[in-house]
Amino acid sequence: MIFHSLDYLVFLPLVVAIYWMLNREKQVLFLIAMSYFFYGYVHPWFLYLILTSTVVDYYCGLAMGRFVEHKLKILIVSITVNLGLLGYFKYFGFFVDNVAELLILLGLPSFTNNLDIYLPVGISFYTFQTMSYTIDIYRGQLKPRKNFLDFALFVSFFPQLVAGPIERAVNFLPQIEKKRTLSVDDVQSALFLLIWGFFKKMVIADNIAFIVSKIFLLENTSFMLVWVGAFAFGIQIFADFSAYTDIARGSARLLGFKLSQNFNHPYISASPTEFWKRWHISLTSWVHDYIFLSLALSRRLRTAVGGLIISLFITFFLNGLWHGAGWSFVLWGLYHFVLLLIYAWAKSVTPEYIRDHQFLRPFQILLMFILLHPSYIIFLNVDISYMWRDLTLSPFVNSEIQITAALFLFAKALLFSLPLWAHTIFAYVRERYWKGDRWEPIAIQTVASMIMFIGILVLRGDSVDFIYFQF
Amino acid sequence: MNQDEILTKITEIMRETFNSPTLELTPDMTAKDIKGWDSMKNIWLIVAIEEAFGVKLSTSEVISIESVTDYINLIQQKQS
Repeated sequence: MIFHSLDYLVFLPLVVAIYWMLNREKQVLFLIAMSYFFYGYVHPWFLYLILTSTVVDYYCGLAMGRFVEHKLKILIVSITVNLGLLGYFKYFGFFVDNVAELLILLGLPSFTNNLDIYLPVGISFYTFQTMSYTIDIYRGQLKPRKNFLDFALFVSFFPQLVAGPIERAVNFLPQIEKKRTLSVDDVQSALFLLIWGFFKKMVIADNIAFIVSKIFLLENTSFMLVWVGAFAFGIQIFADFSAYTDIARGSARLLGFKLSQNFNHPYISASPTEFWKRWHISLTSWVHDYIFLSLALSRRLRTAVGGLIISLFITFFLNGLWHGAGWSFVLWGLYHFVLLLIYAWAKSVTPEYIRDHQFLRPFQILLMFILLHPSYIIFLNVDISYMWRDLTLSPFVNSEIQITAALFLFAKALLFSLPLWAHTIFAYVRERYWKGDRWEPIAIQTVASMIMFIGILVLRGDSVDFIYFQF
Repeated sequence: MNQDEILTKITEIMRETFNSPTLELTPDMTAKDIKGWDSMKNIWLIVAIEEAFGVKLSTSEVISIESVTDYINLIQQKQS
């Protein structure tokens, strides 16, 4: 089931209404049933996969608690099963393609890849979520859970099952295990998150998706058009993905759960490091804690010259690959790796009083925003030859009609994204000059919600799937 | 080493690691309070602290560190 559908508009209120009539144990059972219904709505066979992950990690967790001396072996079983599922459904086709290409390169007899493996939505999210449970037990940061139902809900909780935020067992299991409450404040903030999420998806992202697909399907393109396309995609992907997160957080809040923050106004970042602290926070922190730290603090890399660089390289390589089985995603990850290295070097040679000067921050933000554009061109072009063509276009060769089209599409993208920019600028001002906790009084929220509701009715674009469903 | 001595030594290490000669450290400070304390610099910091105090920190210990106090307590615990 998808969020921006009539089905979900019926499903969510019904679930919330029945849920609050039940006691804690029955709530858990009910939410598992509803989560499985939500996930198996279109393809019921997806449920076998999530059930496999759940059962394997539940028993691996218990076994690690009981057979402490074998916990590394048990962790390997958990990781092998989860990465095995992910590897087969997401990466096997890519692997076979590459073997076939390699054979051609070596001048050996090759074959055609006839595999047609269907990618189950959300598999990258819930496998990472459930692996965090067994890894945390292995590291001694979490106690294994005996209640199977509580654990099954942790893996399958429908609001964040398909596209995150990737919750950590340490934060989320205690919420499942205790009695939940719902205050007026919770309902108010949940409804605001829901309407803001639907507005971002249906009005901003879906309308801008049309501009992006128009530009990147052009055979005869130009520098200006490609950069306007990258600008539009930057807005689309942020509006689309953060919309999913907001709807997930709003839905969860109506059920008494607080999901973690996944975005914190990434476009006011002044450096790549800051960007990764604000963008897809739940994945970045997962990758940081479980991949980067494990590598950088490993015996070999900790003492190696360039150990940190190697760790960072592998982390961003895998971060790119997590997004999709394709070299364009890997290159996207590596572009961010190079940006991080350049910034780290620049920071080390810049005096503190220049580096941290308040006056320079808006310019640093602008530079960072511009530097994100090539990453979007890389991300969007699955075909490497097209990617190279788009990245190497001359800024000085644009026909008159291409300039007019680019300016028109830029203005359109800017217009549709005005609420997003207003929200971002507001966040910037609040962060810099206004440290108060509450910044959205109820009156403003109500008026904004009504305007957004009308906006959804009048301005919504043609429905497009959430971008992160494909990951 | 007592807590003050550890704090003085950590201050020196952090000034050098974060390229911030004017940095003044207090035990309750976290990564958010110190400019430049990011994931990469954190690894350099850990390695420098391990060398300076002759201790080894595991990955789970590193993850559990949230403030300067956590470093001080961990170092004291490891040295005792």
